[in-house]
Amino acid sequence: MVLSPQVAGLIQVLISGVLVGCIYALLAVGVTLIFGLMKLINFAHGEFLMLGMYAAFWLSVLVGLDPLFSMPLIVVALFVAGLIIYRLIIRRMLGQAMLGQMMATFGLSIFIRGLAHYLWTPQVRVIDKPIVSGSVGILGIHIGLPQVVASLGALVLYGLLHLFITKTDTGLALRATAQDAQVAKLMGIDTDWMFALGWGLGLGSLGVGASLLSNYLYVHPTVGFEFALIAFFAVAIGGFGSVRGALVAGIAMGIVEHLAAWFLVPALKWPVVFLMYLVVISLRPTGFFGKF
Amino acid sequence: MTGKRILLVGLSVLALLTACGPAPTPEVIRETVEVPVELTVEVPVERTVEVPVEVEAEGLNEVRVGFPMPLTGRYAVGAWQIIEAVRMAADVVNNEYPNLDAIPFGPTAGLPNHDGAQIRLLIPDSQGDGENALADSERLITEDKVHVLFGGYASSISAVVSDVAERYEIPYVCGAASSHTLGERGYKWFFRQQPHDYTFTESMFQFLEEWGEESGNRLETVALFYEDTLFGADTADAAKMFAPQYGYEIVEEIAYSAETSSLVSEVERLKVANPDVVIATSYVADAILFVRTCKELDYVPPMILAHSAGYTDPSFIEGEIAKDAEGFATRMGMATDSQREIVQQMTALFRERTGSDVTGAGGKAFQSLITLADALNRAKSFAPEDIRQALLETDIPLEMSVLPQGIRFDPETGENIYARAVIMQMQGGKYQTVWPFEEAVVDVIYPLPKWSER
Repeated sequence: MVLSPQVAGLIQVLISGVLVGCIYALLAVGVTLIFGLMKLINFAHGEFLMLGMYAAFWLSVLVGLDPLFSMPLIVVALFVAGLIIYRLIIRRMLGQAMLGQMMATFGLSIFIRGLAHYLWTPQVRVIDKPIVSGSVGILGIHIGLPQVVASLGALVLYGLLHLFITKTDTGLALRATAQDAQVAKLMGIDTDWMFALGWGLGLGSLGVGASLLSNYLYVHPTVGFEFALIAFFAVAIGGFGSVRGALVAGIAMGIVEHLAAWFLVPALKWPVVFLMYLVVISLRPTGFFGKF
Repeated sequence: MTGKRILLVGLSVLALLTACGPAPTPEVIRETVEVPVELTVEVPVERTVEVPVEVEAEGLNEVRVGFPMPLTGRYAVGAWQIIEAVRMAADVVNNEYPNLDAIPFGPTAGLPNHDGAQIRLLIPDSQGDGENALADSERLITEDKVHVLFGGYASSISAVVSDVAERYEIPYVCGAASSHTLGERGYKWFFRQQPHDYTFTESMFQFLEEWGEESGNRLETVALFYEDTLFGADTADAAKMFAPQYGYEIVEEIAYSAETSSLVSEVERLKVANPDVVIATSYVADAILFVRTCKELDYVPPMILAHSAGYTDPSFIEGEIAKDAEGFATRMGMATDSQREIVQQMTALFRERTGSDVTGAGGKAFQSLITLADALNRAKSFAPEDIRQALLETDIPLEMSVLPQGIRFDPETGENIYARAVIMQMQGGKYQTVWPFEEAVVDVIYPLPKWSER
């Protein structure tokens, strides 16, 4: 049995919307973690994703390490990068105007992008033969295996983060710091370490996304830009600082994007997604799960 | 709380801006360069930094050719081929190459009708900047007293240089730019031999018609699949103009953002529309994503015709993606694999001099200088009006051109009335010419094999 092209197309679009949405959620979790802790948007988020994707590419080309296997290395490297960025830049900006802190990350993003342009040129690079590739077809509907693996990776990461935050002492300390850093400090929590950990986790989670995306997407110096933008809006729609909000919003954005391209015209898919954002914040300024 | 509100307001503004315009595009050097919205620059700007002018073949009996090009900056990588090809052409004209008997001026030294006058190239570095190109062009005319302005890469730069040439009444032979708007201004001193964006598109339909008649495969429906910047929109406008003229129905039109990370909905729409031909205009990242999405969704139309750009980028034609793109066809400015002797000699010489294969852009630039040399040789003197008159009387037959056509300029537009594209198809991991048939080295693969059969 094969479905009609219209029905198969709609189901295909819905499935792809969910799969892509999981990726958006995966990339948004780092933004929301850092914001939840420090009320700070990291504008260099997309550039660290780009660095992670370049790492996956070069490890594949030079060492022959598939992105699936290089993932732990990239996660650790970005985790350490998060700690260093916090210590060298963000920590010195604490107590300064919020705009100043954000400008610091903005400057960092331009620096990293410019450096990538210089080092690796604007050339678009792809990993030729990743282990996970191809698609499976059922009733005329095709599902890309790299996308399935990436979405599963996103859900596993969310599960692990949820367990870490809700079931461990460090997670409890993170939540306490996010709620009120001053009081948490009075209770004996090392809030400085919690902030650093937040940055480490925020960037480290990008390592998972970078590896999984490298399985089927290309890398170039500006590849992180659009993903970062999507991640920011997923956080705004889901609620600033809300991890589950980022998950729900990411998936919602993926579905709306794909349905808009299917039912309207593809050129309108992003305007419709951003219209959704405007509608959500006008009805519920805190986003789905955010609190003011 | 205030911070969150600032963020919300900021993100809202960002949302509106993002929805209205595309994000920065990865730099892609393509054979056709984007058309500028503004084609005139109002105020000459003096450059404070003196850029050295590269002077070649200095001599007394000479014709000076001003050739402002981006030697550095973002266009420098792509412009390299053009500069090397033009230098090679000047060398071929100026010096004796007895073995290059198929190339005009190859066996002789200099311009025979002017006592062996040499072509002297003056190449200032425009850095790919319009204001620099403007200042360079004026300086070349007023200080260096060049007889002709030549060259170009990005259409925006060619527009500026041609403005200056028109103002000073100096011939400008455009070497590579492809915006159709350049010739539409009715400039008296502008000449271009290679196809422009509209010619390229019309050539696609001519190919479909001629190949359809020869093979008996009359295709009827077309889908336009293009990235939504000016480049894609221009090619779509051209296709919408020519499709009805050649009897084709456009059954789907998909404009998408080149920065998108998913083309599933777009390819699904193509699937439902089920066109005979997809005409695709993409930068390289989205071209790669398009091929991969087609493969993932098990979709392949009977024929795909692309507008070069991303589909001929090194990232696309090198590596695994080229295997997946087997059967994809693209329009090009010249057939670098042509078996004609003149093309063989030119490509071999370029490889010998640079160690690289010449691209279509390089080949076109080479021919531009040969065409100019032909006019200079016939001109009564090197006075601008005499050179212009000789350019207007140009009539180079196919056998004396590396392009797939002869050269004769329309006095109204300065465009080559014979200009047409070639169609190349990815076969065996590389693009090979399939049309015009007299240039073809392989037959057209039709229909494209399904993914399961590859």
